[in-house]
Amino acid sequence: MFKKIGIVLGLLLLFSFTACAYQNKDFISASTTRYSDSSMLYFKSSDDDLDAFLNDYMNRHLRYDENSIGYFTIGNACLFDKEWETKSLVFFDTTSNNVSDDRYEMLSSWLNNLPVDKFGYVWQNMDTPPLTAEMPSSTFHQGWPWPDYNLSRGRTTGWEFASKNNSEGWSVLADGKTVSPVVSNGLMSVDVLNADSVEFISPENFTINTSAAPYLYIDMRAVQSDILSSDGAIENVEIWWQCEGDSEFSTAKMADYKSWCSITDTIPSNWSQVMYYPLFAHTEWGSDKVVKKLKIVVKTSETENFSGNIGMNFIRTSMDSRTPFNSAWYICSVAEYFKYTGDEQLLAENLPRLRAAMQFNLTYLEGEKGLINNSMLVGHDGGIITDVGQSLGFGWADLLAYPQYDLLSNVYFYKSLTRMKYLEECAAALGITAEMPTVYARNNVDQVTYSETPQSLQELADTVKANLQKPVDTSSKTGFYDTNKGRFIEGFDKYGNVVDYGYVQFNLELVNEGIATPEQEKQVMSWTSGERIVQSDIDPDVEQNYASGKVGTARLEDGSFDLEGTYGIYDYEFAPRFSTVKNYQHYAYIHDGSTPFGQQVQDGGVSMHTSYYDIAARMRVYGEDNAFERLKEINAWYNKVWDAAKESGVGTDIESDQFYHAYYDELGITLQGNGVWGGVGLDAEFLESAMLYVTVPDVFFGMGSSSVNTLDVSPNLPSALTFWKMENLRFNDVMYDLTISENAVCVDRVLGNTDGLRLNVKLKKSSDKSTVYVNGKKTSDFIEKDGYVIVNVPFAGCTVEVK
Amino acid sequence: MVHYLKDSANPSYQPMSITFNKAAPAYFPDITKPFKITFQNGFQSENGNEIAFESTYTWYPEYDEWCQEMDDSGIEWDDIKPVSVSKPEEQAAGNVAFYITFNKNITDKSYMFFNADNSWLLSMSEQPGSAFTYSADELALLTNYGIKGSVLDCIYFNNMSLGERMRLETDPVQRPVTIMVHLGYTALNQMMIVFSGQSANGKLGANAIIDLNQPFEFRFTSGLKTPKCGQVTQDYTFVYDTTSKEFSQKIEVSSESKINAVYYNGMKLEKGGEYNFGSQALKEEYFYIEGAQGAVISFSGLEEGKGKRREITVHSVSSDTTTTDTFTFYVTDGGQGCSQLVGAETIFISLAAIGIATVGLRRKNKNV
Repeated sequence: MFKKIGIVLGLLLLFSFTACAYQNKDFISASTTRYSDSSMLYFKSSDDDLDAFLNDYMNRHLRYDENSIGYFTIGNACLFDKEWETKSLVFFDTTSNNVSDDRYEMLSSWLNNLPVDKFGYVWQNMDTPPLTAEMPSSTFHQGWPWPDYNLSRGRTTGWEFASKNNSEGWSVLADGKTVSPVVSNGLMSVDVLNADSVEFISPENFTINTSAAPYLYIDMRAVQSDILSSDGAIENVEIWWQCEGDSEFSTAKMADYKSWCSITDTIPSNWSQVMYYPLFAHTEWGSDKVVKKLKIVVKTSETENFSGNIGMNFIRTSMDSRTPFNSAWYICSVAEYFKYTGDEQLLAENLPRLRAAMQFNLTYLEGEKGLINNSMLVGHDGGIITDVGQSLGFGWADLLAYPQYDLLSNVYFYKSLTRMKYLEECAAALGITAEMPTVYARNNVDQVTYSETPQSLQELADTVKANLQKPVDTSSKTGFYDTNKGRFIEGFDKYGNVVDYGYVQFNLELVNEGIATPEQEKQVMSWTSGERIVQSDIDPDVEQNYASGKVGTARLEDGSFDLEGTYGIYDYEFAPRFSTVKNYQHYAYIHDGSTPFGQQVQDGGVSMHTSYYDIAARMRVYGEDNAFERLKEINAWYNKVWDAAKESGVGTDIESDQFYHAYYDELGITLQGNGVWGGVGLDAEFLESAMLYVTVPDVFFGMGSSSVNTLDVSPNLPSALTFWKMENLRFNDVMYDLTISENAVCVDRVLGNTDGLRLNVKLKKSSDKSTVYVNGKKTSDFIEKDGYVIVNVPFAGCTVEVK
Repeated sequence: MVHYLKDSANPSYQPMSITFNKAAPAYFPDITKPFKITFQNGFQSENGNEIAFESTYTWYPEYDEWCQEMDDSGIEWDDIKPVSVSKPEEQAAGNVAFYITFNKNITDKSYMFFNADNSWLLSMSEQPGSAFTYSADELALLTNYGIKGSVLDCIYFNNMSLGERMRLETDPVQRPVTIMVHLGYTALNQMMIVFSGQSANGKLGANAIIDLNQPFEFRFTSGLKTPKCGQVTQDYTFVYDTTSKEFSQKIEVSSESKINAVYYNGMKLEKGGEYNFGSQALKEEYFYIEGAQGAVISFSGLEEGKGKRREITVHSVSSDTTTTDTFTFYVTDGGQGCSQLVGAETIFISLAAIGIATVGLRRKNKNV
């Protein structure tokens, strides 16, 4: 009997040793083997097909060599893409060591220089005039490029001296005397001598309905002939207007540069500046007036007068296309950048700006009440397609009209609070002190000073989270979670109607952020994964107006679509659809919603970056194997794309930016990008497609940094792999390789100054008797929490293992 | 001969002309070479006004400009360095552009055609609708503080400075644009250098680049200054690899060899310290040396050594071979690292179990 028990026990233990040793053998071999021959990020695992996919995908989407899938540079987009760009670029070395145009520098340059104005509003783009006046290329840099006045349906206007090359009826007075303007090379300008004031006076053949023109902005160029003067003689630029029925200008209807523009600098002798006047806040402009005449007065100081040339490139009115996401995008981007770079200087220099940006969310957008109110931006009233000028939105999904209190803006508000808390804590840990900035309130009069602490930020984040979790109440028009549908709605429009098109993207972003309750998470994921069908989505009249389940019957085997049959959420293979129900009316008024469901990315179409949130949310709710299974499905799709591209000669006979086109052309599916509308977003301006490879560090390696100078690693290795490795990672300027197994982490080939850096490893306990080893030596220096052990060691070559 | 003139337009100005006579060759300046005029303290003009501060002006024939020597000791020039050069980009009219990225912003605004001479820039600035505007005041500052001149003198393309290259263009109209240096045009930390493909009447430009696949070399020498008061303090060379189609930095020769710190696989080592890295050979590629910029680094004693206390030395020889430095530490065989992780405990338990089985077998035998 003893013999049998002993032999069985022995064999069992031997088998267990063999299995364990086998896994460790792979892990050990991988962690001590160098696979890449460059300093570029390199993925290696026990699945060769996965490695080939990830390395090729990263190479093409990083857009730095001849394989680039698009003209635009990742890292150089304006603010809306910055968080995704930062996440895609800073966990490994994208400096000039690896790419010709240093992406770290590119990112920090943007983060350091994006304007944060007196309201605390972060601009979408830089405060720079167009380089040449000949091209009317400048857009509304505070917000989205459209709708410009040409899209106002005749409600307002503007003047482009660049394009028409005549003064369009504008006249000019210098000290009250008529001067003939010259229109040349895109400028309407005059030469004046010793003038105290120069007035540009409009014709009276136009109408500006102020409801469609909350902003007026002008591009002015002034060259002072007294060139030896370092400071300019010009002191101010005033906008005067007459409304319908007025016969003369009055000071009551005037707004000047120094008081009204949100960024004002001293005007030098050589001046090129686009000036944005937020006239909606002026009681005599407001949103219900009809303006019939304008006057722009350039005034000198009391002690100087102006001699030289003054001109204008354009005079435009504009909708308020500012977005409620900008503060969050900026704060999250800085947090992502700091997380992997530890750039103290960047944090110190940006801290007052970050605080001002946070205060914009709290005060201007009323976030201190627990939810951001989009309608504090003019025209963001949650209207519908017929509400000209009152149905603006503008985030990444720029066609949609977001409700006043909408889900996505508040998910980003929540993110901004948690990231700001992190940055405040980091600043405190580093001894960085910075001013508590004061910003203007929306009325351009009241001022408020930032006074948040990490604790107050966390408290408000908790409030926002609770508000987002609240169930929909159609009588009070509040709440976001629809218990019947088991998902989050976008909110209520200005008419009190529920706005819900089954926004998969927004639900996944919310789940990934940890905002939903565990039950809500499960419900959302069962719907987005295709496992559960939301019956109310089904349109009994039009079969192809919705998507439910994983794959529909209209999706043919080769990936193309039949004209009949149902749609599924994963019809497009590489990502779930952006939304699951046809949207006819909740758009910015400039879009008519007539594109068939699925043929516009924002209306049932698909974008790769959704897969980042999908995989991350799957990890959170279903675990690593489910998340990995999804990644492997994308791997399989990519292999087909790669074969098609290779067959058609992409990279040899055809430019590399046609990589995806070869596959989709065959299927008759139009890719959106470079001005072409379509249902699939992968390349061209879809820089955020790079986020797919970020699932590896973020989801499967559990990488991040929750405190200064500390890299967190919490591996979630899928059971299909015995190890996973990333080579050439970068943390606080130190290069390293990182290998994970189910129960171990190995940091190796650490190159750089590691002074003060720490590594925080979190591993699952396999049993109550699990033992923790650091470099093969048993240790008791760890913390146990929620079934995990947490080991904190110096950041250097080491292996941490739980057995 | 010195003449004082009257300026009717600006009576407060009193121009003075100085004429050198060829008949006195000893005092006649060679105007084809730079020469200086210094107004020393105490110099009095005709109306009795006295110069309070000595000032020196240098004539630069190659730029056709006088430049006042400025005391810039009060300026804290910020150390900057170029970090990358983009591959050549072919543009319209045969122009070829390179984008040089610096580690910090080099300007607060866009300065177009920064390398062109001041008179051309001023004249173009006065054109209505000009893509750029420079004031004379601004140009005077940029020139006198040596910022403009440094762009011509401290940037070399294929071993010839941009200033020298500009003078290759014989057409005076085309000369200001034969090479175009734009600062902050694409980003505030970027300099764009465009080599014009054409000269006057459609002729090939003196600096036209026909073959884009050649081993281009950019050298940025110490002294290059930027409008944001940044200064390059050592030479940097970037060479284009025609195979990889990328520029990479070439390490310059220097006398630097001092080792400031040594890290092995992230662990900071002390000089003379003793470390337990096991018996395995240490890998050269796991060392990170701080300091010794550009020096040739070599190692001794890295080999495997079971049970031994090994002496390992890092040797640094400056790239010009004039100086050396060493860093020595010791390694003992204690067994650690990634390869030491096969479950020793598991082996022990398994063997113990087999042992139990064997004992059991013996016991059974005894019982028979």
